[in-house]
Amino acid sequence: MEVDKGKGEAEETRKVAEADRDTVTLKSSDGKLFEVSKEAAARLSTVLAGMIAGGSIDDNGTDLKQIGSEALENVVDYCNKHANSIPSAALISSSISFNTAPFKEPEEWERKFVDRLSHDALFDLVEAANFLGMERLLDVTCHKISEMMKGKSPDQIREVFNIKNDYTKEELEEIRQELAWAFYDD
Amino acid sequence: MLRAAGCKSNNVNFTSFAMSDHAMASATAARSRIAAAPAAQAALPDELLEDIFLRLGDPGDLVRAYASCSSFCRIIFGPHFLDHYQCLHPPLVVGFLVYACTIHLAPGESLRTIRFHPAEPPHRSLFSGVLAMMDDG
Repeated sequence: MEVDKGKGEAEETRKVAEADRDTVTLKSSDGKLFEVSKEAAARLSTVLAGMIAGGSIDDNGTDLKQIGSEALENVVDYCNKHANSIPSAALISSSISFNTAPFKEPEEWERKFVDRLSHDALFDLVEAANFLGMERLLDVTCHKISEMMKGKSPDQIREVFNIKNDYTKEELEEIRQELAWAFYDD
Repeated sequence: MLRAAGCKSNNVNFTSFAMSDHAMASATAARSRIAAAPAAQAALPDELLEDIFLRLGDPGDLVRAYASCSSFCRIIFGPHFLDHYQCLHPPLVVGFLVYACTIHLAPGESLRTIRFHPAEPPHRSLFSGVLAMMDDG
């Protein structure tokens, strides 16, 4: 009898522990599972915070059909790194420049985090951050892409975004003449 | 061509040049271009592109983005973008016009000499601003 009672208690404890798990499991569009700290997920993503609060998190892996495994891996990596980082208020305030004052400048580790990403991974990550409502990650990725545009010619900007020129020759010439001051490099 | 927005304080005229006004001046032509051009396939949703473009501190980058394809042009000359952009990137103060002295030529007729003091060492936008001012003058 006592042994059964002990087993019952252990079962009860296991169930409580599962309900109070401090991680959530996320499933990418291609079926890969990733674990992320519940606290970091709730703090960094408004969408995941809503799902956690609403109890719609699936212990077997919450489906995120819009996000591929590489992007989700980067999201989880970012959440884990963010959970471990100690934000330095002094660093943030000293790095704000006049022109970008309304936007928070990325911290050093965030810069390194996006710098190591391939072109496609960066663009997938900005969409994942947008989908998950991760304001800070969105800031960091948008900042990186805007940096990639700075000082570039229209041709180089098309390369960054992998888009085609759909202006006619006449239209381009017209733009060039109207705004000649902006075309100093080509 | 270039608008110089000034507000007088005593004898110092604070002059700021809104470089993005270049782009604003072309808004009508750009809008007709939007109507004429088929929408190009965008790399990212419009809301994300807007977020990215808002971070371009140099209006020259914005203009070159606009010149790269018609869907970017549509976003930049969309209903809210430039207002939002100007809130985030107020026109730069490039210098001061100082009334140095007033020379009285005849009763009721005088000549004021004005000196321009750059707010910072000359750079590209200052140079183009001054050139445009000379063109206008």
